[in-house]
Amino acid sequence: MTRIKLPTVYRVYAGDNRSVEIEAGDVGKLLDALTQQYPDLKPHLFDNDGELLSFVNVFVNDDNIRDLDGNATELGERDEVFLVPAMAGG
Amino acid sequence: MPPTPLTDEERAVYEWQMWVPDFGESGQEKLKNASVMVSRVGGVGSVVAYELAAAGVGKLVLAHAGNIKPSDLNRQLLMTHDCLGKPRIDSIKRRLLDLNPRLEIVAVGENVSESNAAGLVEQCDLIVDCAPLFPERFAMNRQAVLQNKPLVECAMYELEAHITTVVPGKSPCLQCIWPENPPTWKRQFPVFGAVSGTVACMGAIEAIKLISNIGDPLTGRLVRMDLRDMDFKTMKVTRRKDCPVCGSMGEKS
Ligand SMILES: [Zn+2]
Repeated sequence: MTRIKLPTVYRVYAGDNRSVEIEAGDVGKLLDALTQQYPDLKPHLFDNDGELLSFVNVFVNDDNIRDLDGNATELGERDEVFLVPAMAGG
Repeated sequence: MPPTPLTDEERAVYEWQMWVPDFGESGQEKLKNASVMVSRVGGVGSVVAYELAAAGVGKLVLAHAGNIKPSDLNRQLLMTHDCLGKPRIDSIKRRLLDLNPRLEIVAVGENVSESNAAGLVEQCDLIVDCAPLFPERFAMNRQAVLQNKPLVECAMYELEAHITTVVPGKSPCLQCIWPENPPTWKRQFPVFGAVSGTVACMGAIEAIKLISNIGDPLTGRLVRMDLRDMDFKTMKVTRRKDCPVCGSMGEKS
């Protein structure tokens, strides 16, 4: 199982969970499974063409998937995935 | 221009921080001769400015519009109850000078925008951005890159916060990390002063480190913290070749 840590703004769309555990082989499959489980989350992660929104970063452990293999980034048992959308509170 | 040396009064005030061995009197002299811009002096920016004033930064350039409201007082620690309804920037200036009368302050009673950002950034060596709206942050980021000045980005929401440091040409800028803002972002957000103050103190020590050249700044690293469970994570962030702001800058070593 891979643990996905959700930012505060998304928890309301994901059953108020701070993190969710999902079994998936890569990041694309993981995000598919996550948004199937919590459909309200989908418009906050993907645009109408299914592309990840520009203001959301996805990290596997400390690396951005942009610097890895994007959606094809493989996931292991101990990996943690972080969704990190922009925030500006001051 | 040679740096202005410390006075005996300053040596007395900053004695305990000059005991930090790699900082010392030369670090204090660097702070005295430095100028830091704080964009919005609210929940985060009040504490950044207060810590920098306490540490002996010579000059602060401060931008913040509006009058003090009751709802400022849970976190905007430079605003006081007796000044409700009066300009925030006056309260900010008064409270900072109460703490450090040697401080030089450029106080602007407006928020940062595309039209004033260039002139404000020209007056400082380094920026700490604490603005609650993306257009203000993007205007600051663009000017920091154009004028090649370090920018510390502190942001929070509810019990969560982010901090990273931009050194133009060397590390990703704000828009390398987030090219666009979430369309749902609102000016009003849930906040405890203890959360805005936490990331503010981190921003202040980043500024102090950058000016005095101690430690390792958060360049190319983003710290994401959730104080709800005290979960801290440092992530690597990288430049985008196609970044509309800094993409055309070469790589600096
Ligand atoms: Zn950039």
